[in-house]
Order: sequence, then C-alpha cells, then structure tokens
Amino acid sequence: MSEAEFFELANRWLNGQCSDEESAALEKILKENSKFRRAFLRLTNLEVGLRDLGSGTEEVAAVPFAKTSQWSKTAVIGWAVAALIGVAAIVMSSLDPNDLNTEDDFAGIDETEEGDHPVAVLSKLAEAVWSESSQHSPAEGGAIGTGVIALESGLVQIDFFGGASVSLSGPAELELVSHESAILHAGVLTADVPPAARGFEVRTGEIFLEDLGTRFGLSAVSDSEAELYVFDGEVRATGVSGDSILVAGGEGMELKNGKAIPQDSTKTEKYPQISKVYEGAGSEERDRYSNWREASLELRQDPRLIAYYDFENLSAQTRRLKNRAQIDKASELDGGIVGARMAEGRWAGKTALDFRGEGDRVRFAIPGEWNAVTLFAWVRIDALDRHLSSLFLTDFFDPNEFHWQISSKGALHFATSPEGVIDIPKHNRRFYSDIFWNPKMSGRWFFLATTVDCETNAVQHYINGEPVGFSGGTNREKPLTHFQIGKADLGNWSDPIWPEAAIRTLNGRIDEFAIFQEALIAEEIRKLYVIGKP
Amino acid sequence: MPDATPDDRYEQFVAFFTRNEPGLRSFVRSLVPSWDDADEVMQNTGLVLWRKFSDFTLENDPQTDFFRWACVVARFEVLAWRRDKARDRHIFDEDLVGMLAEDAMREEKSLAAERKALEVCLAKLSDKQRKIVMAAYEPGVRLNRVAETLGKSATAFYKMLNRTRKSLLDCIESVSGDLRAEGGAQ
Repeated sequence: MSEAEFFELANRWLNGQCSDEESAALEKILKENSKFRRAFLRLTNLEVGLRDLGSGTEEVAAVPFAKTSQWSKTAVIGWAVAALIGVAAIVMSSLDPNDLNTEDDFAGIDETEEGDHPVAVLSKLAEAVWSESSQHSPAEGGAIGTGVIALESGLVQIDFFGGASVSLSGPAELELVSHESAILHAGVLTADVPPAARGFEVRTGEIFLEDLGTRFGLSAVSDSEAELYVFDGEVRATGVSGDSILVAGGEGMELKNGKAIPQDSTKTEKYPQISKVYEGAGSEERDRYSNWREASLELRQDPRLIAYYDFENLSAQTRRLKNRAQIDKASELDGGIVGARMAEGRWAGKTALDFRGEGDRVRFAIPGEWNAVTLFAWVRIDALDRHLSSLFLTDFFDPNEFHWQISSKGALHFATSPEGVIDIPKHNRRFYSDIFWNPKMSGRWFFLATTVDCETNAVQHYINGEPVGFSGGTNREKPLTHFQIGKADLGNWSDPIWPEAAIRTLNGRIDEFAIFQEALIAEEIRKLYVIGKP
Repeated sequence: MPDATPDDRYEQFVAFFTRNEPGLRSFVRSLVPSWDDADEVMQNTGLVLWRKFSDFTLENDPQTDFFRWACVVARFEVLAWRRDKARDRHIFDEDLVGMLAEDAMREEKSLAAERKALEVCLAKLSDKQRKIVMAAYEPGVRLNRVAETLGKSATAFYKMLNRTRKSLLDCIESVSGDLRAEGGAQ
C-alpha cells in the first residue's frame, strides 16, 4: 500500500466511511507497518486538536441528525469527571480565541457554486406524468438541476453526474441535492451505484443511507420510517440517533423510529427496475413512432408539397435521401448524402442523418418558382458553435433564393433578397426568431418551421408547433417577390458568398424535412408537431 | 500521598487529568471508529481513573506516569467497549490495540508538541477553509450534514477535509520541529 493509499484509507476510517473490509485492511496494514502506525496516531492526534478547537465555534445551522451530547447521559457519580473533560476542552479552545472569526455566518460562505447547475440527466422516461409541484419536468436526455422532481405516475431513470443511476416510480418526490446525493420525500426508488459512485447518499425523512456498493431499493413511508432492500453490495443506514447499521445484499429492513426490523426479503417487486423503465419507454416509444409513421404516409399525399424527406430506413451505405412527396418525377428531387452519417432519430429504430464535419451535407437540385413557402424540419441541435448553423441553404445567395439557419445565439433565421448579393445591407430581408435554444438543450429534438408568403408579405417562425416573435432582423417590412431554390444543401452551405466565413455545418441531426409551396396555417403546424414529437 | 486531604487529591487529579486528557483522547480515538464511541470510552475511563486515583503512586515523572497509567486504563476500557460492539461491525483487534497503546505512550511528547503547533498551522489556512474545518469538528455533528449545510456534496466535502488534514499535518510537522528546537535552546 502506498502512502497516499494509506492516507486515503485512514481518512475514510476517521470520517466513518469505511466498510468492514476496508477497516480490516487498515487493521492489517497498521499491524505490519510501524511508520503507518505513527502516521495514524498523528492523524487522530490532529483530530483531537481540531475537535477541541471546533467546540469553541458557533453552531452550524440546521444539523437535524446531530446526536445529543453524551454528557447529558452522564451518571450521577460521573458529573464531576464530565465537568473536568469540559474544562479540558475549554482550556484547549482558549488557545485560539481570535483566529476563528466566529461572528461570520456559515451561510455567508460562497460555496453554492452548484446552485442552478445541473447535477443529473434524465436518461429515460416511461409513461411519465409530472406533477404540477415538480420544479423540473425535463425531457428525455435533458439535464436536471438541484431541486424537487415530482412524478405523478410512470417511471423515470435519472443518471446522477456522480455515476449513480436512480429509477423512480411515480407517485414519488425526489429532491436532487448534488452530483451524489438526493432526498426521497415520497415514493419508491431503486439506486444502482457503480464503484466510481460509491458513497452515493439518499436521505428519507430522518434516515440517511450511504451506498457502499451496487444496488438498493428504498421506499419512503414517513419521516421516521422507510423500507430498504439491498439487492447487492452493502448500504449503511443511519437513524436520527446517529446509530448506523450495515445492511448487506439480499437483506430487507424496515427502518422505523431508529430501529431496524428485518423483513421478508422476497418482497422486492415494488422497487422499479431499470429494465422496466426501458421496456415501458420502449412500448410508449413504439406507439409514438408508429403513429407518426401513419401520419407521415398521409403527408406524402399533400398536393402542396414541393418535396418531403422522411429519413426512414437509412443504412450506413445509403447515399440517396428519398423524396417521398407523391408528385411527378419525385425521384428527381432525391437528395445526395455527402459525409453525413446514419444515426438514431427521434425514436429507437427511426433513422436520421448526423451532421458534424465540415463537408457533411445533403445535396439537392429543386427547380421552380413559388409565391409562398413552408419549411419544416425535426432537428436535434447538439451545439451552435458556428456564427450561423445551416438548416437549408441555397448555393451562394442569388436573387429570391433563401437561407434557413440558426444563429449562434439560438434564434431561427430566415433570409432572402430580391437582389441577391447586390448591396446586401440595403436589400437583404432577415428575420431572426425569438431565442429558443441554449446549450442546456443540447441533444434535444426540436420541431422548427417557417412559413413565408409574398402576397401578405408575412414571415412566421414556429418552435415546437408554437408561433414565436422576432428578436431582430433587417428590411423586414420590405416586399417579398417570389422564391426559388435550385441547388441547395441541407445542413451546410455550398458555394458561400464569403469563402473565409464559409463553415456553417450543422452540429446535430435531422430526421424529417419538408418544403411546401404554400404557407401552412398555425393549426397545421401545431398538428405536425403533436404527431411528430418524440 | 497518604497525608493529602480529599480536596488536595481532587485538585491533583484535575491537574493531571486536564493536562493528559487530549493525549489520552487522541489515543482512544485511534482505537475506536467514531467520536461518539471515543466519548463513551473516555467517559468510562475518566470515571475509573478518578475511582482508582488513590491507587496511583508517583514514581519518577508524575506527568509521564499519569499518562502511562491512564493509557493502561483506557486500553482496558477500549477492550471492554470492544466486547460489546465487535459483533456489529469490524473493530480493531486486541493485538493492534496493544501496539497502538505502546506507540501512543512512546510518542506522547512529540504528539503533544504537534497539538500545540496546530494553532499556528490553522492560522495559515484561508478563512473559508478554517471555518469549514471548524464546522466539521463541532462535537456531535455528522459530516454529511455539514456538507449539506454548506451546499457541498459529501464526496466533495470529504475530499476537501482530507486535503486540509494533509496540509495541516505537513505544516504541523515542520512547526512542531521548530517548537521543540526552541524548547531545547532554552
């Protein structure tokens, strides 16, 4: 054992974190090595010094688990000696009366850097219904900050940044405290704790649990009552009295008013299993996917379509993105996949294209002229790390062509000019939507749509089916004449106007894209969102 | 001291006990896994020492001898406590208790110097570090609750605590060496 390993182990022992095995290992090494024995005595000696000084400071607010002082239990004969020990403590603490700035409140210490920062990821949802009191109602894949999540029904899986994974079964209320701790206010959970996350803590009422390895189920009954089942490994449960018990794998315990009562250890079915979360999520996902597929088949027949790409049944070898719109010579409008890779779409089993590298794109040549256009796409934005990230851009920027993209600030952006690149500041009509994205939403699927109508001179952006306003732009009131596309890219920009500012590759995925020759109305956009949302 | 009055004896005991209590407590803490256990053992040890103080005879160096005598009593109390608790969890065995007792008696002078040096070294910590450490050592607090109060995860808090212990020990080693050197020059 190295000195550093020994020091780590000795510290764990002092902190009361050692499992029985660790404590036995410490015993062994102390017997064998006199140098470590001396180091150990120096460490406990330091503990005594610190504790004597510590007793001179003011109390830390809110320590409900504090054990009442031993002295209160002192027997009649013992009072004199107890008083003496008290005297000794005072003598020690008087060594250092000024250095401790005890007037400062601990609340003033700026240690709240975890504040609103996320501490976990919601990795899976299965028929989950959030309760109104839930402080967070994250989407799948979304990060969750500290605070309470309240589930009315269904199952969710929460992966803590510290490495522990918790399956929660509604109705339940779980408060996320940090990367490695949580409070179960109500309901039932199962925690899965890999070695790197050992020490993961869950509190329920007055009962404190520390996972010393692998997996346990916990059910909150009341403030002083809980049921615990350890599937595997070891859990330390500490009651309000400060007494701890170790519960080993295969053991069930009823923890009640500070006592642990062994329970029938076969009743484990109430604890949610991660596999069930996935099964549940799977069936729900399959339903949504097949509903969308039906609607998608119908959509193909919409006569207003210029082109429609459902990104279905792609393989790693696929180089042609099929136009599914049921129009004459539909395959003329098939896209050519360049660089972009096949990836998972909104649902398990649905395919998408992943855009990342400088060259990734789908090439199109779409002839025609229209007085109105609707564009929609399901997009997973991983990052907005370009000044502008491409959705659908015509090559160069010839008169009446348009560029549909996302700004680095997180706004959907539509631009067109009747003059093309001639005197751009004067003629370019630019429409930035309200900001809808920030990096916390990385990895989430969005339904983005824009409708443009030259007759009414109206441009409308939609985010997830809802119309949104503008956060900026230029020449927005100037008339629009008509539109054309010609050669164009999805997810990139070929033949840019300024070669030095060329890279606008999307960093994310697309798994559905359509162009219509009419401006769809708000209700149609909303329906498309509802049927397609993951 | 056959002529001493009970009051004299009591005062003498107080003087000895007060002086040796930190060293004794440090020794006891090295043998039991928590402060609650250490307090329990110390309480019993104090009672036994006072009851048996009339048997205590002074030989060469009363300070050293009181400490040795108290260590023997404390060791016995630890073993008694051990018999009650060993069924529940792993506790250091009798051999190690004996070895640590020997070491504690031998090292007491240098350990006492280290306790004195702590004050100097604590002053070298940042205000924030010092406050957090003091909060962690308040009698009766549970470390994971302190972490929660400070808005820290327990793991992060323990890491910080362990690091602080290490830097204090390093500081103490050099400062206590200096203190002893000064003492030698007097």
